[in-house]
Amino acid sequence: MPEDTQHDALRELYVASYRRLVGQLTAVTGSLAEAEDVVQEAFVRAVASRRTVEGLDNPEAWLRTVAVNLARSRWRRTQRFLHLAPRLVADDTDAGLSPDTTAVLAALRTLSPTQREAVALHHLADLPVREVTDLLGVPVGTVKARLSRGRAALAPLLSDHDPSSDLEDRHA
Amino acid sequence: MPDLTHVPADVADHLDPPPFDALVVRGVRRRRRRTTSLVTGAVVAVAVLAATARVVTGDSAAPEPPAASPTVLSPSEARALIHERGAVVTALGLDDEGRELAVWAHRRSRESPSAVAVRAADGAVALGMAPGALDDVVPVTGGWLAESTNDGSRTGSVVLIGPDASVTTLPAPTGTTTPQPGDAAIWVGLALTLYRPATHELFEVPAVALPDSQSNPVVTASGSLVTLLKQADTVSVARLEDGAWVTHELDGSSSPSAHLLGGGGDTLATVVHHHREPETTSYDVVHLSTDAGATWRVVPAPPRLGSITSIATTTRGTTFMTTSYGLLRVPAEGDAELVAGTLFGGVLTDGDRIMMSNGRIYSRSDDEGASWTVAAVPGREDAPVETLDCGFAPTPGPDQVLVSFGCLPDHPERAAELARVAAETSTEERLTAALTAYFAGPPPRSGALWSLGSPDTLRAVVVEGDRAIVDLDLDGGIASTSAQSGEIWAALTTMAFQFPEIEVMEPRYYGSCVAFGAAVGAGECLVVQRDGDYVPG
Repeated sequence: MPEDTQHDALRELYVASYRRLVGQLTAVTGSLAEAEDVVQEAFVRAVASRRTVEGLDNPEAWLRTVAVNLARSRWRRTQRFLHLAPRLVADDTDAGLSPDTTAVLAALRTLSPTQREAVALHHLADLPVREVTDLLGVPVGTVKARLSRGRAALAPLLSDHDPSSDLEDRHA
Repeated sequence: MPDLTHVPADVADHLDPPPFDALVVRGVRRRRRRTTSLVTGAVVAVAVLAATARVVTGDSAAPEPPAASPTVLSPSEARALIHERGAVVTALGLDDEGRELAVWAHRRSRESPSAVAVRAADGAVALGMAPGALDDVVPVTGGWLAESTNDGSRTGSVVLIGPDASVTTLPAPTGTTTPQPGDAAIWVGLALTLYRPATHELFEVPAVALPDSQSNPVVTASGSLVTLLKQADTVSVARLEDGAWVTHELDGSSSPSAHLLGGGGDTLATVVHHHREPETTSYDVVHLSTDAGATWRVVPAPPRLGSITSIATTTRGTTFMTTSYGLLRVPAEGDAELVAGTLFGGVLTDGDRIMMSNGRIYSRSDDEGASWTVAAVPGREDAPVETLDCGFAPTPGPDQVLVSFGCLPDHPERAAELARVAAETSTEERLTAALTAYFAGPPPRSGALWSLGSPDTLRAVVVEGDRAIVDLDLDGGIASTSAQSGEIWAALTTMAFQFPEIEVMEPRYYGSCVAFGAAVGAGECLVVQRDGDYVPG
């Protein structure tokens, strides 16, 4: 019987990317648990579409896109459950994280979802603006506007951070 | 704006990723779900083809059993397993000589061995044991093939179940070959494997391009290996002829996501499942070929079928499919029609009789679905086939919780038993107790009751305020059919809302509500409110 080596490439991708993706999606979603949900689901879909994924130049970008889309779908659905979401989010993001990270995530949760995903992908996931626009499927101007508004909203909440480190649109 | 790139890294440092193999299993099972759920449905048609091929080749005698590996026969051990509380039927089979096969396993662990029970046409029952789980059962001349997993081998192995309930592990393939009449095909892990009954040999399939999504394989009477390929948005029939795949595009109209293939004689039938996102509507299209796959036509069918979950074709060329709304009969000529009400599980045939498996009992028709009789599955002839518990709903006392089971067949009611708990336990503990009892299975005497999963299925129960979160392990196609999905929703909501303090029930699959929604075919995260509404969660 042949060895099951068909998923070796995905396994390597999982080892290399899972933590990074969850870290990025935690910023995008504001929730560690939700980030793990969507990233795991993205890998499950990758297994189900193995050939497609393995043929991609940047499979991690594909996984990130799937995970972000899953997260966006959940945002839309949770609009009717806003009274439940804050409690669940607040519970799961504090466990084990540094106070600084917890504070940043709390600040991110105050943003609108569209602002948060733009800020998270650009300023936390370190993606160039062009890549963020491709991922989110919106024009460059829209992303820049969301980044600008997001930064403005975050500024008073992140005042303890080093103000000299101005990273506006570093990759734009 | 300060540098925040350390935040994802900090999160990443605190992660404990789940094993990748668990995600692989989820992904592969998702691909195979609609075929593996059949167990004895579509693949049973191979038995018909094997019988046909035997006539063609003049091989009228069953081959001698293979001698390469030890044969496992432990009737007393098998009997004990079958009679344990929590023992469930994981597969059923028929052969062309009227034998009936049931594979039993204990719910508590997928690592546990399986028992096999073979009942001959005269009612004599033989029992045997298998070292691991038997995931697929394919009838062949002289018995049944099965994929054995969790038996100590990394990638699984193939066993041959004999008419005497012997279980023999076949040697691994040593080479490749081209299919011949009478061969059978089976997926072993992610590899398509051929079995030649005359010599009990296994062969790898030469130059196989595995599809993006697996469907069950069929070896036709003329010796072609046929399966369905899903590539991007196209489903094609593929035949392996002279070492090369010949494909015929079957459906490229929209986004097919799953498919089934059955065959009997020269008749092949397929159903292609379409799933539209983001609307998450789905529909099925039935295709039929009466010339071994050379030409195909779309069969007019009733507009509302829901999901088609199993398929089997008789030697007369009549195909039966289990759907959300009943059993669909597809004649070789003419339109399809529904011939029975809602039923659970899969449909199978020995070429003449039609059977529908319903957990521990099955319904059998000798007149192509016009009338049905109910019988116990092999191995539990002592258990009465009863439906009298259906609709029974006792009122729990202060030290009891209600455990709600599905009721078979054709009963919309549920049935319940009471499980004892300490009087002062929390809602979370009481719900955990109820779900634990549910996943342990109904009492052995209740042949008409059923439940899904195993004790391993329940991962965690959390009650936060008025919200109950139930985290399950649905691996193995537990909720792969619409009837099973309906059962899991009904069971979870019935048991959660027996506690008046619970207003919302959120199901999860390995911690993911989205994954649960995908597993049960909802396509999204849904939670249930006490008023019965399913709302996005």
